[in-house]
Amino acid sequence: MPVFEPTAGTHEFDAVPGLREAWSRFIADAFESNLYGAKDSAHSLLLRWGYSDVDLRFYNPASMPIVAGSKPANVFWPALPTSYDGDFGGKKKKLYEYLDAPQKENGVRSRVQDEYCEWVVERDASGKAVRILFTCEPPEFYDFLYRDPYGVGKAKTRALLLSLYRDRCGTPDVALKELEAGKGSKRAYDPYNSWNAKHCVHMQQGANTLFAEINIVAIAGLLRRKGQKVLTDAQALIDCGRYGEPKRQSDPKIGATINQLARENRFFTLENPVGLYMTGLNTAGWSVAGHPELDPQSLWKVRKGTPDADPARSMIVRAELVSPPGLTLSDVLIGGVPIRYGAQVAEQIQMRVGVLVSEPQAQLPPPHAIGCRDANPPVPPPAAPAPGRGNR
Amino acid sequence: MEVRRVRREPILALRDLQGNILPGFRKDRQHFVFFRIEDASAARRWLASLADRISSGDEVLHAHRTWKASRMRLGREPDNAHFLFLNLALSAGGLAKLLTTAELDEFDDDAFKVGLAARSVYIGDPKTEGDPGHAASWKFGGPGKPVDLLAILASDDRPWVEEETASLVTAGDQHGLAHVHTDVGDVARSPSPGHEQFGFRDGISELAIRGRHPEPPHEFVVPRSIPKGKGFEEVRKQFATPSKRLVWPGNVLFGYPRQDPNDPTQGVATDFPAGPKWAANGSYLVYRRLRQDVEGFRRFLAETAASLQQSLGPDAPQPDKLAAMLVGRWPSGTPFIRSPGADAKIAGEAANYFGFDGPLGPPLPGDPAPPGAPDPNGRIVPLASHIRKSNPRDLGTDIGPATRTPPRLLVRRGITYADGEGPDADRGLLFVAYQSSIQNQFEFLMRTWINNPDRPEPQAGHDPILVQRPGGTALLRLAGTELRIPLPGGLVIPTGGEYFFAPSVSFFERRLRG
Ligand code: HEM
Repeated sequence: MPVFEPTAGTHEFDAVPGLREAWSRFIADAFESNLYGAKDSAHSLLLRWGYSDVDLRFYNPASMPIVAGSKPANVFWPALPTSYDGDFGGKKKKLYEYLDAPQKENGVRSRVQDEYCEWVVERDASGKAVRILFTCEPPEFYDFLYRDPYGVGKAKTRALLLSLYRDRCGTPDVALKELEAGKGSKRAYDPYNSWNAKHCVHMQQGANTLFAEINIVAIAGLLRRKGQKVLTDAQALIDCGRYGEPKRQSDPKIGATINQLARENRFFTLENPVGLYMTGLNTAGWSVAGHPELDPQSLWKVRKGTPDADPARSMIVRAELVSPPGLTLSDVLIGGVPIRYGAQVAEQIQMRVGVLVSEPQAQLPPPHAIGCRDANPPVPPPAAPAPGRGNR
Repeated sequence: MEVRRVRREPILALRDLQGNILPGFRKDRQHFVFFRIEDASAARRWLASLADRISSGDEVLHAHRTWKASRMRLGREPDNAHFLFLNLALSAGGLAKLLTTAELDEFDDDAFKVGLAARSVYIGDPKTEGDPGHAASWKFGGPGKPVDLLAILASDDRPWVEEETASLVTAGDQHGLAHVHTDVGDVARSPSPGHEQFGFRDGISELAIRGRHPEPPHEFVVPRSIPKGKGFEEVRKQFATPSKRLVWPGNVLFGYPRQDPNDPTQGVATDFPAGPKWAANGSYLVYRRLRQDVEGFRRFLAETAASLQQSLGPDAPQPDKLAAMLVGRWPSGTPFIRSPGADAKIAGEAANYFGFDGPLGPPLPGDPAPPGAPDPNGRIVPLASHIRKSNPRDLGTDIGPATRTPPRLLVRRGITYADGEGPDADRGLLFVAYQSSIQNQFEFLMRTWINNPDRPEPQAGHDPILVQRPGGTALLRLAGTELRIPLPGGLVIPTGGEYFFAPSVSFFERRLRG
């Protein structure tokens, strides 16, 4: 029985027997390596500080049953990045142009949208936006189909990969070799391939990955101290734990929330299906110029995943904003301002990551806190266990 | 673009910026007079001629000093050390009439350019015409009732400010302007001075603009009074006084660096509010005429307390305590987190010395009240309470670590008003706030935090004071349980308003004259 469902709980993998199971193993392995891997895992950090896995509160539901009484909880953040806010002399137009376009970083051209949501704007001949595609599908999903790491049968998984691409790109023309890069034994799936670049098939910004999400939760789930003071501040925690990207909105907030759960001595794991989801588009105050009868929410089309009126349950991984019939997106007004950039729309999209959280474990001593800089050789643990914080 | 950062606080052009931005008028009587420009060239000449009368930051600072010296000498509030201040601000519509649209386009802020009425539903006002608070019913600023110019006249001397208002309206009339509306702000028209209409002390938590005086020895404009002792280091870096959180001038004023969102001690020298050259030393002014339903508020508290009584029994808060929880402060201003049992009457600077993740630092001298426990989950102060929604303080939020929050805050300069007497009187708050980005500051707070039930804290619900749409709820974590209380919505509704730009004095002197 597979434990982990495919991202957004979709049925695309059903086309290939054994694929669901393989995906579940893939996710379970990602949990394991972040929790117990030899290097830089949560466990290896604890060992280096002289502690053991007794101090782990994050767990892999494939190897330990869900703790009784666990409840879902969420972290929300906006899809519009703020990492580049200060870089354009305060000029929003320049910032939005930058965010909308792929940029060359470390030798590759890639989208730089860094809040686990990426978008591509399609424009008409006059330059007006006509459609904006959004994805928060992780690259792992596609790379997994290309590599077939658990031997389900490459011919079948790659055929599925191609059919998914053809569906996303709306054309049968996609060829496998166009999705690859490198030569000989280095030949691999290329997340920067031209089809993905153009049709926003999945996320490609370097740190927008499922692995990153699991890593943040694993590492942020360790209590941290400076001297004897247990850290609680989001910035201090991310500076100390060095998980994720401190300049983002999501990573410091996810880290701080997770760390608080551990401080409260709760067990937690990621919501299944593991994913980063759009919860929806906030169209309150939107209108279509000259068409008061049109509900702008009707222009938001979910293409993969399931929307839910309750943002805590919404699981959208692919969606698009389409033009009203016979018009362009520049006729769609957000609080009276015409849409020119994808960034304006991203600002109205909310993201979430879900966790399952137990009650505080009164019968267990609170987890030990480790320091910030790696201890090597290991330092002996402090005499008294660090007190948990937060009122209960 | 290369990003440069600065640590030395810049010199503030106090003679050029308008005094209600910094240090604030702080006068008991403030008239907000709205005009429409009918004859642009006549209006331009007249406005240019008013340049000498605009009260600059420098003048208002001097006036405050004089007033304080009199009070020291007399041992009571002086009754003859009066001043009359004047400030002016223009809406985008007004600027478009006086200048070229190209110049107006240089402003980066789209919200300012389209104006408040067009943004009304976006920030949480009702969308159906006919519903109370809808822009179509506003006294001014709504469709068909544009306002171009706002003149603020302020004094402690009531007859004087009335006379001056009358003569300004007459003069405007003679110089191409039509008077549209006047709002009379009066601290005396409230349950008690300094308290808003629901009965809570206001104007406690403030932003202090970083910066120095133009004259040697270039002292800080907002004096610093955090104790020097051990343990106060972090507080001293971020606050001028316990009640005043420091912010880099670029988050309020054009022409100065904005705050580094990841390090409050530095400004980003390459990140300025974007606008025309002459915008330097100016600031956006958000004006909202907010009517408060005082009866409705009392009723809501009584009904909610009664229903909580049913579910919680003796653990249920009484109406006055419930109110304090929903605001986040007792009527006296005492922070609820530091005094959750009953009002411990924490006054002065200590009334703002708290965090939601634990005390900010060691106790202040002469502040014996308990510091307050960490409350990240809102078990003491509900996550939806007005002061948590509008300033989550030391807690990280949906936009990242706590350092990202101060650049989103506002310089608040509101004052109470009441039209008529008795329970049916139209009473409320003339909400006035300065900032350098309406979209990232006022609107962000309104749309993303106050009116979004899941931000900054998941599940929190809506701000019980400010939510307008029906169907909102607020989460209470009380006595070990979680409850959602339904919110009536519309206890506070807008009845007028506009987005303005308060330009520098030299804008009137040079740009308009030019
Ligand atoms: C009639 C409507 C309103 C009432 C009755 C009201 C009442 C209050 C009260 C009693 C306080 C606490 C006093 C203090 O800390 O200074 C406060 C603080 C505050 N209010 Fe309001 N308010 C109203 C409208 C608004 C609006 C429209 C905003 C816009 C975003 C806003 C933003 C804030 C902020 C930022 C604070 C300071 C929070 C802090 O730093 O702790 N308020 N308000």
